[in-house]
Amino acid sequence: MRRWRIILGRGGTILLAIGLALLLVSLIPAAQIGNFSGTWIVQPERFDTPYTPFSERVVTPQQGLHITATANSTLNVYLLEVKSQTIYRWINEHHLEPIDSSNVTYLEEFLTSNPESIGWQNEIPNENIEFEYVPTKITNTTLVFSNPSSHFIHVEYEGSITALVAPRSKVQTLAQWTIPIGFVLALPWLIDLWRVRTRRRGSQLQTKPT
Amino acid sequence: MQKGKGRPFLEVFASALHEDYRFPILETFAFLYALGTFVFASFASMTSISVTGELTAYSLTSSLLGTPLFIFIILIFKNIAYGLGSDIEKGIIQTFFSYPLKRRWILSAKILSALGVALLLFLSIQISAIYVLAPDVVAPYLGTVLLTYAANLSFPLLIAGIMLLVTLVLRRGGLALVLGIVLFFAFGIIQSLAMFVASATNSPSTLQIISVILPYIVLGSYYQISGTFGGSVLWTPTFTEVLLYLGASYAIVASLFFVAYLYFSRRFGL
Repeated sequence: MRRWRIILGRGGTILLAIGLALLLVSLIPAAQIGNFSGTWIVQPERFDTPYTPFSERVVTPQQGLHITATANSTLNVYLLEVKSQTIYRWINEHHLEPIDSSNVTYLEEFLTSNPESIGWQNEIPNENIEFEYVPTKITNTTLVFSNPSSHFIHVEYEGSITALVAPRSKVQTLAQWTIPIGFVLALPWLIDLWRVRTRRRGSQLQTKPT
Repeated sequence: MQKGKGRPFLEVFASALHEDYRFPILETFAFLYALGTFVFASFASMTSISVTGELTAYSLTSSLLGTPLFIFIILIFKNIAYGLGSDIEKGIIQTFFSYPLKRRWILSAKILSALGVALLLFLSIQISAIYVLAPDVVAPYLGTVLLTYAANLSFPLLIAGIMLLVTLVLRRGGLALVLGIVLFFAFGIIQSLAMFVASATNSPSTLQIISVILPYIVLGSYYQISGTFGGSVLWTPTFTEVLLYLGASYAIVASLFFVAYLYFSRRFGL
């Protein structure tokens, strides 16, 4: 019984140590390595891939993209883990007749056929939207605004690229779980350890010659 | 192990664990491994999408085998030279000899504690941490990640084997610890020299010779990270060659441990 308490206790203290390390990692501030902003008018039933600093380069799991966008009507926004040319190439390869490759229908076809390319997606509900995206592999990234409505939509966006030690939210969540679990497992053993030490100190005081 | 011998083995193992990992040694190393993995992981050399997933997995794993691996080496050197050495010096090993347990099982319990637990802690924390960092890099190429670890861990295990043998022969750990540290740095110099000679003579022979002891060189050459000098490729080993060099290095490690077992079982006296 006592041996099990030691094993669980040491397991708990190890979890606690790992949790504290993760917490420390999550507290390391991200360094901003680039920013961008723009204004775009998305035509009815069309999609657009505005130029961003990450359009021409790859992003790694140690880089985060923080984007804020505002639109005057409901607009779909995607972060696709492909180059913008890949989307247009795919559309042109699958439609041999002359087409307007910026049509929303073709984007939806592309997304249905390549669901793994969607890194993040959401709807700008006629107001401000803010999101952070950290890739899980080395990948190209393209920002896509898609307007399924029949009227022009004005969108303003700004963002930044940050250098991270680790994906903060993921590491923070892990720390939030490991620290309490470790503490609960370690507590009985730590109490035992404290009792033994106090008893030993007490007996040492008693045996000291007066 | 015969039936009924399990309990004495566990007693020796528990005693070894208690000696090797007094509170908070294990916790400190767990903290450093977890922190080190994130701090030292780097994607700096992988700025092109044309880099294959396998090469990304190799480069990412290699990037965090610098300082965290050195921390691991410190732990196993301490456990073998100081832990086993002080057990011999204090006569604790003599007490274990009175247990109804063969000598080889006593040594197994000590090695399992000194190396096995340290290795388990190191690998489990590092692999979990890189999975958290880049799941889509690690999960599809777990084989590459494990191969990179195997290639990098062979040398520390070789030195651990030498230290074990020296500790048993000299019956003290201090000298073995010094020898281990000297060997560790000496091989770093030998590796640099081998690379220089290979570059100067335009021949991969020195790299091939040293790869038997340091198989991470052959793996690096396979991925064209090492073995390339001034833009020219000196050595392009095949995957089978990588496995052969890795197998040879682990055969040397295994033979060292085998000699240590033989010595402890037959010749070791107090």
